[in-house]
Amino acid sequence: MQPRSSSATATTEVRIAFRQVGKVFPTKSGSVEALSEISLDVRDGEFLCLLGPSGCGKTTLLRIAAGLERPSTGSVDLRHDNPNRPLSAVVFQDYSVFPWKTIRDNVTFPLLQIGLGRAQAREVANHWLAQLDLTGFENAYPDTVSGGMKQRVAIARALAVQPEVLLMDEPLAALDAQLRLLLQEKLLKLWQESQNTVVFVTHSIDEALLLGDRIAVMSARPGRIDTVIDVPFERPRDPDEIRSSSDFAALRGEIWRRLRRELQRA
Amino acid sequence: MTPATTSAEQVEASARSQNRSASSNWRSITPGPAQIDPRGYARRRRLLERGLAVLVPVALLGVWQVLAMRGVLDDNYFPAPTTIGSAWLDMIDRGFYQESVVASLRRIVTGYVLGTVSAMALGLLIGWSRLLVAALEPTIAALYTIPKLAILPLLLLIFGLGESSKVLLVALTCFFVVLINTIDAVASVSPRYLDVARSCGASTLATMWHITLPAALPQILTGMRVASGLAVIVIVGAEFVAADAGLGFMVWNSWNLGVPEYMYVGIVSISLIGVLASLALRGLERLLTPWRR
Repeated sequence: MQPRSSSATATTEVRIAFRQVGKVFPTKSGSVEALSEISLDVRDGEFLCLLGPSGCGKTTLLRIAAGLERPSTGSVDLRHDNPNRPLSAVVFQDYSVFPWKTIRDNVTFPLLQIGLGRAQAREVANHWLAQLDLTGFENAYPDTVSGGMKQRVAIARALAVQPEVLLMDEPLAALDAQLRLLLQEKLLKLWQESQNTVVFVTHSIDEALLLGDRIAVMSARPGRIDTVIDVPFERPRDPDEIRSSSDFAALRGEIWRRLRRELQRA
Repeated sequence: MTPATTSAEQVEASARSQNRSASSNWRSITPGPAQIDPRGYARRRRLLERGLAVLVPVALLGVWQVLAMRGVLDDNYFPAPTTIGSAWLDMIDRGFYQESVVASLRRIVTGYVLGTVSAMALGLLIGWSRLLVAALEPTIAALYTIPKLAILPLLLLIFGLGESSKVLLVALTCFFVVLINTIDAVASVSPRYLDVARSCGASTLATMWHITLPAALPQILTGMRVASGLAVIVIVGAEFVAADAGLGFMVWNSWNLGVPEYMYVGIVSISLIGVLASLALRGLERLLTPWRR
């Protein structure tokens, strides 16, 4: 595992290019502009956090990148290198684990879709379930386990296919504070092992600072990229050390001032 | 408001604990019988519930028996349960009973399977496409509200007095109930799940099989349970007027013959079929939707 400092050694090659992306939702009373003129490059292998107040369109931006929605204007281009790996996988916020499938079958589902055989899919699923400390719960149904475990299943399901780009939409937002810290550390550890490109939507400044190489701070509706901040912490990161560092406090204060301005404006 | 405790309890409470002053009321929350012996309590409770479930109908029959024997009930209308029982055995002896049950069951099961299976397949297809829902839903709703017995004469006209008119009547009855439930269930599958399927690159067929069908299954099964009850109702109606065998025929015929016992045998048997069908479908539900406990 090579430790890497975010901005210096990261390849400057672009993985996802957002170009002048706009999104307008028609409503009964006219239309709502959710995104406006978003231009942003996500670099190869970086962990990019989309941070913003609720309703700023960060989820919409992620859904467009995932191909679940189309932009109203502009374009998003994703580079797909290895045809044997899926381009992207998504971890949704909540209620995305299939209640009718066992925990293992939830993870094998996408593996079967990309053409793995049953036995192989089962093996891969077991590996990722073990990575997320879910061993022993393979045959349980999701509704019989806790919310934190369900969300770990959702994460295992996305990681199992080894996508070139991992898109995460507030994957930890529904969890309580302590559980959230634990899963952040887990995510940090897993990402440091794989170093896939990640786009991570969050409204938590701490989370963005702990996990991200860069943080794209978005403004309130219509969502724009307000600023992009480089996170200076060395990798591999130690969560406790980072949280207690003075840089952390300073950056947090700076981002909070920006967000507060946005929130007050909205 | 102070918690209501009797003075005897108050004295006892203050005796138990020194820092409780006698002048104030204390509300004491302690383990009850359900907490002290949870297993035993649950077992006794279950026993009581099951016992009651059997005891109440038995007691009602007993009252009926006594009233009939004392002549309070006119046995031209309400023969004693024992009279009905012996008539039942008599009909079984003559083979007439089995013949009637088989005739009705065959029509119910054939029509039911035909109606539900085709409705499920069609419902999945229609519910999947918003365009098809828009195009067909009003028509289906209109056809659904037609009482199916009202078209029995039409079916008789087309298919004659044979089995097919009755089987079709059952099939049509079940078809619309299951169809409407299936379409609704499929159309209301949470888009979150479909998003997951799409982001996994699942094909249409895989999405239908892995997502839509299981997500819609609980509601489809509810429709199937409703349909089973309607199937029984509708076949009895058809057999009243257009059959020479079956439980409906048995009830109708015993009126013609003036034998009320036979009528009751038929009525009870019909109700039993309904109950058994409902139980069987509950079992199927448990089997097919294991994630719902």
